[in-house]
Amino acid sequence: MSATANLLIGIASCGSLAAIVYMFMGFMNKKSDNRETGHSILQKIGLEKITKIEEKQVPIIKKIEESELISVETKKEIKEVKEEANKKIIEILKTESFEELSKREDELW
Amino acid sequence: MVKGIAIILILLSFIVVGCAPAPFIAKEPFQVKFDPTLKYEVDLSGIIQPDKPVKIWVDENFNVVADAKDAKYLLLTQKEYAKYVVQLQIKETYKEIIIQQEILINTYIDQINSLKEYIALEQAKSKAYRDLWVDSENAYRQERYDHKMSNLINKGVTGAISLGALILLILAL
Repeated sequence: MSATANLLIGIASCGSLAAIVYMFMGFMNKKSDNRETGHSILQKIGLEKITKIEEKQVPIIKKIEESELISVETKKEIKEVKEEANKKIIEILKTESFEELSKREDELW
Repeated sequence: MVKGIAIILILLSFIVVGCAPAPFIAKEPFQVKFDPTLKYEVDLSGIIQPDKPVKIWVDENFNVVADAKDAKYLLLTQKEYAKYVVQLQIKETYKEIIIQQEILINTYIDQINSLKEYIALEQAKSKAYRDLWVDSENAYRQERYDHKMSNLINKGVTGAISLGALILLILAL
């Protein structure tokens, strides 16, 4: 074989090798793109799941805040019950009639 | 002109290569703030307590006796009788307070149950975030590995081609 032929074979070999590597790189890139698509879908699903969980948490927080208000109101009512009772006690102690006292006793018994 | 275009293209390629991708901004966490609940104490000190009633003991002939063991009946003045009625009123008040306290306790039980539910959801959320993190970390590692391998193959093949070309050049000469 002549030197020119050898040279051409050599150039062709290099070119073939480069083409194979280029194809391999293309395959790697495609694989990476597919992986990225899969990853994006998984991330989207995951974030949607988190959003749904947070949506479920909102009414619970509202419920806790509402019960906090109820407890404050109840404490106020207890205070009012005591104040009302004191008024009644003073009224009873000031009563100057057996009849009225007896009537009150019957009511409370 | 050609030189200018070449310089602009080189500069543009530097900018494209040098530019970092847009930073990832994480989702803002759910903000919740609860004030601590103060301890509850039953305060009955506000209710007026009358003095101990003064009792007048009388025997079967309604004569006043000093000792209760000799007495048959108890005599109460209007003022002392009122003190007994007051005790009934206090009993009634306690009953009302107990009902209110039952409401209060049940409210706190509701709060505890809600918080338990909230914690369960928070745990589910934490697991979901962890899954996302694991997925991202695995994707990053895979990408890094592929990049490393790709670089290695690239360098190897470029080296082989360069070497081959050099040998061919020497042979040709």
